[in-house]
Amino acid sequence: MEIFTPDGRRHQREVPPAAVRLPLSSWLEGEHLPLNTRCGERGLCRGCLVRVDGRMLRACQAEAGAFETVSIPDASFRDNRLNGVSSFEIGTHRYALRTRPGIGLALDIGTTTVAGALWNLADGTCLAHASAANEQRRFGDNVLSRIDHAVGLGGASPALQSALVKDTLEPLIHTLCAAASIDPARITEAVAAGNTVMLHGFAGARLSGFAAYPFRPEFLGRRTLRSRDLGFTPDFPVFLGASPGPFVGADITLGALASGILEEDAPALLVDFGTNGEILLKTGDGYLATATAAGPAFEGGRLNCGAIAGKGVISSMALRGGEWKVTLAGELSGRITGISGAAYVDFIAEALRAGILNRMGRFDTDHPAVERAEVDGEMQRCVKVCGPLFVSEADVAELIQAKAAIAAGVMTLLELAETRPGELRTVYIAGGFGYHLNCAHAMAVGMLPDVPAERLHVIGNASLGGASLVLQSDAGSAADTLCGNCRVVELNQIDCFEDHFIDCMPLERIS
Amino acid sequence: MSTIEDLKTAVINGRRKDVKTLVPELLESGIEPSALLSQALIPAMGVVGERFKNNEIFVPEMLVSARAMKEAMNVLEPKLLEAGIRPEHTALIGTVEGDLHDIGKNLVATMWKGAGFDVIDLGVNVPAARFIEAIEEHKPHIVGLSALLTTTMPAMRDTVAAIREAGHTSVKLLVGGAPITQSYANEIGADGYSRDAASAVDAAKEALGV
Ligand code: B1M
Repeated sequence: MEIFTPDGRRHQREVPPAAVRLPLSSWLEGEHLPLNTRCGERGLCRGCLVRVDGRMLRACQAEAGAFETVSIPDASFRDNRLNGVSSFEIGTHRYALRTRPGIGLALDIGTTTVAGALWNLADGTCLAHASAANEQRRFGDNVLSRIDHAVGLGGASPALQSALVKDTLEPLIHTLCAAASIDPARITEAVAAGNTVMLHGFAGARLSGFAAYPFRPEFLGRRTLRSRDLGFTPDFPVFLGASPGPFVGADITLGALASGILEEDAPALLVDFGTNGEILLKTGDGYLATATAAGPAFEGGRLNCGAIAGKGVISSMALRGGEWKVTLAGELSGRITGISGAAYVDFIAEALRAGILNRMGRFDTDHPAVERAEVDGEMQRCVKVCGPLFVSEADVAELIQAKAAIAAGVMTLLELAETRPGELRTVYIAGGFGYHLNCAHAMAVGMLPDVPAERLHVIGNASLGGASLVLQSDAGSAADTLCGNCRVVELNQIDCFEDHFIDCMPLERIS
Repeated sequence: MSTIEDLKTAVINGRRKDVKTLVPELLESGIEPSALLSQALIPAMGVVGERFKNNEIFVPEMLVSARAMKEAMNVLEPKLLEAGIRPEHTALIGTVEGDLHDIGKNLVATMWKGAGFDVIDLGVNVPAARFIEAIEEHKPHIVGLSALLTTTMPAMRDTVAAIREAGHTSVKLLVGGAPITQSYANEIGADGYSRDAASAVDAAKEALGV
């Protein structure tokens, strides 16, 4: 078969007789030409569309042996250079540092990306930090598809665990060790943060308890495992952080430790702009936590040109004299490949200001920047950003749902705590945006309620920061205390969530 | 003085607060509840659905209008019931077992009310047995099933099968929700699929032959 990839290359591959009936997407995966099989090869999404004989078809629904020539469009090609955020900061804290000989590994296992940091425990120096795509993505871009896959296998999936341990974390550990010139065998211990589903998958636990309500996870409290039992070659203890609830994970508890919210005066807020949209509110007498299921839009998921900020990806943009001025994450080598979540926020804020976009997320058809173009076989209103990159109305609609979910989650917790947004003393923003998010834009489009700029802190990958802190200090027990002190709010049981969700949909300030 | 037309416009534009004051005001002026329904609310939701289908409005606007409609129905429904006015067609709707998402389902329910159906909403996380019980109690013409999670799609399949097995072969089963597709609907033996709340009205009307 002749396969064309978006970089313009042509690959000649033989389809062996045994593979002829395999789904085209599975076969390409084995040939190291992976597609965005976001729905886990169920034929539900458009992530694996390929062009064959001038028409587009879903590679997961076609047989590998059926074609002579296939070309993979940019949007379908799963980019293995996908980068996550491994930058973080650790706020002031009151934990006693435990210096001791050894090399510690801090991990944040996210649904989309994983990140790690290597520490010299003797003096508390960070030796290296890096991130990578979570290779479990081939089982679907959201936790549910992966749970579904595991449930199909009776609950636990060795393939899912090995995709994480063998294909994702081991290479990440090697990257970290190579950067620090350290033999992986010298790692003495690890601390892992992550959402509950990722930690279950990591530990090889059954995922069935997450499939449907009422949720019954196998564990929520902290755990210590041996890396050898997980499938790693070097052997060391691996500490998993505690989670407050089935869908509110150790990523938010450990993130809270790193943010400094525990030391902050109430009311204070921590929002993680990830797929799960976890929120923690510190009130006068404890914590409220929830997950809003915002979806992967802020990490670029389900958006036509969406990408995680990395090499060749637009990390911010501004409209100047009718032209989009873009800034890239990392220096440019070759083509500009995508738009990051933070840059989409810039786009919306700037397009609103310029009247290209209205508050309901519609483009002004009379505006010269707006054109109609065919996207996925449908005519859509679009605005070109640069090169082949554009934003369509459907992209804006996707972002609106995601931001409405998070903002509504925040407003619901505030309502439960009888607190007005203006009373918030501190707001921490963690997650996939890294440090790129323009907070003024975020407030202008109503992703977050309005608070004075000096109260907002963008803190990067807080859960990696938290895992690092636990590694170096006695903060681990504070995470347990936090879980005990934290009421997990199930948003579907709170009537006002739907109202807030609808109120938060327009692209306007929330106060 | 306010008119029926004002109410219609307020619903279309999703002005919930205006609706809240207009409905009692119009009722007080002597207009029948059934007239408010047939001359303001139903036409208003018709306009909303039409605009949505023509790509003139999006989900946010539709949600806002539906919420205004709901506000009016909260006042009108008991009064209509009192007056013994029952719509000709009854629809049952619910989110399948294990799934707690209801914003989309509520929107479909409101659009169906806006099309003049009597809508009985079973809520979320509805087991197949509960659907069957309600079918036997209310004898609906159509049953709507919503699922938002990939993992609850099997529950939708099971519910469709259970309803059929219980002998309810003529009731029309309509399905929808973000992960559902026409081909999935065909596969599980549903009578209809719609990808949004506006086309859910068309699907229901088609199933009923009205
Ligand atoms: C009968 O005929 C019909 C016909 C048409 C029908 C129909 C029936 N039903 C719907 N339609 C259609 O018409 C409507 C109007 O056009 C449309 O309805 P929709 O519902 O699609 O649209 C609504 C108008 C607005 N949209 C929504 O209401 C859904 C929005 C998002 C953000 C969302 C929300 C709000 C919530 N969530 Co959830 N949530 C997400 C969503 C992410 C996203 N960006 O879409 C989604 C659906 N959630 C998801 C997940 C994973 C989860 N959620 C969960 C919980 C929640 C909240 C409680 C926080 C809240 C729901 C509150 C409520 N009362 O409904 C959990 C599950 C709980 C459970 N067992 O159900 C949890 C498991 C995770 C968690 N963190 O807790 C994802 C599902 C992934 C998948 N493929 O399965 C998700 C796509 C987000 C993601 N992570 O990517 C059509 O689908």
